[in-house]
Amino acid sequence: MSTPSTVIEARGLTKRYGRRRGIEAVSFSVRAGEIFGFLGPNGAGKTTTIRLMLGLLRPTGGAVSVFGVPPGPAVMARIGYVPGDLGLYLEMTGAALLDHLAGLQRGPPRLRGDLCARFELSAPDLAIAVRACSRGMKQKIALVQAFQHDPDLLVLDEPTEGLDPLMRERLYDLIQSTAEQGKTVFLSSHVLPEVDRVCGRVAMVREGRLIVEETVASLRARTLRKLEAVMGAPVDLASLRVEGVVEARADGSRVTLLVRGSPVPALQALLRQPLEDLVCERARLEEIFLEHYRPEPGR
Amino acid sequence: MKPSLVLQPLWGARWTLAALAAGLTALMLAATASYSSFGGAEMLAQFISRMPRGIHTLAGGENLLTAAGYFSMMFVHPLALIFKGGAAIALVTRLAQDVETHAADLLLSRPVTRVELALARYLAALAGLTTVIGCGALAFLIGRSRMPAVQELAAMHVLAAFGYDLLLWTAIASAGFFATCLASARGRAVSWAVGFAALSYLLNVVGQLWAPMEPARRASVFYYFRPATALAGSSPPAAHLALLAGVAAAGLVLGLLAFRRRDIA
Repeated sequence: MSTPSTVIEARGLTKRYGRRRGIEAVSFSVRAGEIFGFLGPNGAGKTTTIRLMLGLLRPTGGAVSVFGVPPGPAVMARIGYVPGDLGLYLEMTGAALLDHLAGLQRGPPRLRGDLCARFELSAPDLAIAVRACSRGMKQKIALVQAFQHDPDLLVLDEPTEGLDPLMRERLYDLIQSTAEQGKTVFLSSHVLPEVDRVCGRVAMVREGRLIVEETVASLRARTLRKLEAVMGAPVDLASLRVEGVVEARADGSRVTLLVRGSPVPALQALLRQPLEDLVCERARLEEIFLEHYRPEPGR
Repeated sequence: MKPSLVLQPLWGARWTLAALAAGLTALMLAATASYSSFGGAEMLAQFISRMPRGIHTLAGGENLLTAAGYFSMMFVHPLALIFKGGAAIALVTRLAQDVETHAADLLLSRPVTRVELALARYLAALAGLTTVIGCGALAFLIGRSRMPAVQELAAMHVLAAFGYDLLLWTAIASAGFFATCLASARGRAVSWAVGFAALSYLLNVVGQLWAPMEPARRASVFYYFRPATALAGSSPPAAHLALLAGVAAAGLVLGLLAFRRRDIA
């Protein structure tokens, strides 16, 4: 099966659980080779969307295709999945579980050795029953089972849950190197720094509806960033209200500018003043996220 | 279908199965070993003439004066019901547990169809049930070989009776399978399966004790199970066998259809 340029395509995807909301008319597409972040607070509909993509749920409306066809066994052979709700057979050893899950794939688990080394899963670690494993160990096993058969599409639902910072870094590196090989990664998370760190494009869901789908760079460009300057003498704030500056205020020698888009015109304006010190904060996805998820007035 | 889909639940339930098989084995060995200690047909006749009707009904309602009648009681002995019911329900409800714990998500996100997964779990349940009932049959044959009084039952007839028993419990397991294919929690699937088996058993017993309820016995799978007939060397009514096989097939097909269409959540 060839890899079409669009790996995942959701069109008007809707899921209702009786009278309870799941997701409503969600549409997005994920291209081959990209790391696509799927963001939203708990209960927004991220896992429902993933379960629809994997064919675990039947849509109430709309459709989703993966590699150009509806989810089914042929497509599943090309997917690696880390579920958010981790359900492992607790009585099995880690090694037996990985063997069992690999045995259900069409290809051999050829990356297992490298993955175990990357996540520091030794043979003795894998020889104990999953029941006796820590949360982090279970999560590492979940990651290995998803990546071990070298799938073309990784669907990762909150993949860093339970991992320590070092292992998180290793996972980010793995995700990035996987994408560099032309594989596609769908990363669902509510941990904004990790999405900010690895994703090229994001979609955000809120209360079951998609509210944003664009590149992280363009999201940042639309977002306010703060420039804090310490001046050697009082300044005329009107001279600082240049292109992109939406707010300028002074507190003694300290001047604060809120800038949308490129900060260059504001920096040039500041350099024409008696500037002594400057702090320019990078626009963070977290602020964009909060901007979108701040409760609406009257709600 | 990958064999590991069948073997994994069997391996997971190996200690449960071993305990149930050991229990049924012990019961059958005890039953065959203690037959002559009842004093044969004459003593049994005196004993049965004093037995309350309710107790006689609970013992299977068969003619206990014959070896076939006496041993048919062992097929519906409360302990035997627990051992066989336990095997049928413990394994057949594993699928609901997979859904409840989200282990099914990991399996179905591989090139495994829902029908394959459900059918594998059903086959595992049948294998477990066959193991437990097979151990009971083997124990009975061992006991028979050691007790001359029991040898009036032909070995083939004993095997036929245990085969008949397997058919009954396959039908019950299939009803449980249908319940488990609909359920999202193992506890619920177990409740429905046990409920079906218990209601079926009670319907048959109450129908024997209370004349107005007699017609309702036909709604019970136990009504179609007459192990004394098989032990005595006669063929059970074909309609009874067909009905039990029909319940088993219906449970399987309805279960697969339900599991194929449902949400895994």
